[in-house]
Amino acid sequence: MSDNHKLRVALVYLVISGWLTATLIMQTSMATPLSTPSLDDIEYPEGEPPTEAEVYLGKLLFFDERLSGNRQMSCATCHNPDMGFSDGLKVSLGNDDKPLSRHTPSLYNLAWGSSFFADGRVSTLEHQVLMPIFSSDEMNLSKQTLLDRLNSEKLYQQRFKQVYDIETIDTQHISQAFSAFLRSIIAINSPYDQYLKGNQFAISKEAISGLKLFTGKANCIRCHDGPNFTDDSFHSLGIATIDKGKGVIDNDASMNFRFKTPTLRNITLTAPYMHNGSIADLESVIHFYNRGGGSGPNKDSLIQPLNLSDVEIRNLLTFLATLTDPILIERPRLPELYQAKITTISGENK
Amino acid sequence: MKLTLASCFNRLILVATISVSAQINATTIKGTITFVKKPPLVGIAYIPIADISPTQETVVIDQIDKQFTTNMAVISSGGEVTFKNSDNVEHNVFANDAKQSAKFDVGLMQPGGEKKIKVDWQQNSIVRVGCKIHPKMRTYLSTINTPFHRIIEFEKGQQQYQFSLNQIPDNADIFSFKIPKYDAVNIDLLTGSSWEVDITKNGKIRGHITIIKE
Repeated sequence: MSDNHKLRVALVYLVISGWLTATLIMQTSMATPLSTPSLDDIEYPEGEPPTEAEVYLGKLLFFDERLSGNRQMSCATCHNPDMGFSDGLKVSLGNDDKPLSRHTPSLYNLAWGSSFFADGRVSTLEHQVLMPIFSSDEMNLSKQTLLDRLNSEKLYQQRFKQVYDIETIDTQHISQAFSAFLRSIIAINSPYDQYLKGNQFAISKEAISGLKLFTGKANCIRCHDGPNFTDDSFHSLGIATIDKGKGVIDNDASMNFRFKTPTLRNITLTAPYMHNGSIADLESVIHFYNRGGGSGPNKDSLIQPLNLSDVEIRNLLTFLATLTDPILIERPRLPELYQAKITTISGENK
Repeated sequence: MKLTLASCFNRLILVATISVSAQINATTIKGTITFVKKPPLVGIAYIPIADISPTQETVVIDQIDKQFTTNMAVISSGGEVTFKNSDNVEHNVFANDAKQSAKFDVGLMQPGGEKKIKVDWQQNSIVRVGCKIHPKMRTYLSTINTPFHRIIEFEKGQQQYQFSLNQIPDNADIFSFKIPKYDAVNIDLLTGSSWEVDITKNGKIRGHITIIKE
């Protein structure tokens, strides 16, 4: 084959695969395109992104074990960056290692989120971030102790003064700093995103077949659409039988057993799956959907048997793996946190 | 057609009414809205009218592709809103705005469903309406009772917008501009003929609005 001919074949391949991608991504009329999340679409409460100093302050808090009653847990204990900002456990371990009732959700791309917690009980990150700290089942720290601990620490006094120009640390600014850090955990450069940018070789043929299934036969796109592969909607998959999820929050029986549709970005990093961690691996999740979900109450009519073959299940898995973009988080410098810990403990012992 | 005395008299009244209206409705307000950065979803510019009896109109809002068909609708207190579901997934439309005393929940709406609600909350408010199942869905009901209003839908990537309010009464004294969650803009129309005012959210400047009375 001459060089010219090879070039022509390559061009035809690129045009066809580009057209195929566009068709697949837009295929379902009701779906928001499976695009790369745009930083311009983030709704920052202050209207503009936080400063680096604010994000770093949030990171310090995120890794600080003194934000739990017994000084044994930080946010990163359950939302471990090295484990997909989750913990690999079926359900989270709370205060004094007591198991909670739900699986730890990952924290990727919360910047675009519209509701938080598996039951969607709050609509802003600022509202959400302090709730696990104050929960007696989780980090079990009182508001007053939190404020006492942070206000008595020079490191935090200086940093809150630098970032917010405040003399006394309050919960509003703690929550703001946390949220700034959480909004910085952004995964938008997966192989799939590179594929969208025009690198036709970023994902395999099997993954493209998986994408076709995702938007077609497997019907995933009905809920997992949009740039973050979720519409944040609430559905019952027939899994829950006791935990009524959003029904409790809304005090509405029609919402019973419904839980939030999670993002699929970095989904391969965050096993086990479902709100209660009841499915151990991603392949089992697809088999679960293939069977038509569970038999629990109030199951959504969207959940129907899919009749996917083993090859199709494998292709779907291959596609989901292309949504992986691990985020490396450099932990705060140890001496800074360690020094802070020593100072506060000795201060409180006086 | 046979003209009777009564019909002549009626025509005379009609002509007189139109001519008085023409005299009163002589003013136009032209405006430009400029956002410093990303624009919000929607806003409304209007002239409040104090002495006008509430109308009992009906507004229809549909749901298609997991979105409401409009970002904002104007409805008077006492009117009715019909929500339709033309999607092929279920929805659950609700509002819960304690500040405006606006609370309703139509319950689950299957595809093809239709539910009506009565607007029984206070006048001059903007109430957010959402879907319990799809929290990203939102529309706003603006309960103002004036024919002189303009809803302005903003778009990503466009920072400047123009609008006009036509045939407004000469004696109109207030111009209002509201964006959900933003600070309200109220301009006294009796002092001057052009104005430029900051658009703010929690006191922070997000843009400017310029209006000219012609």
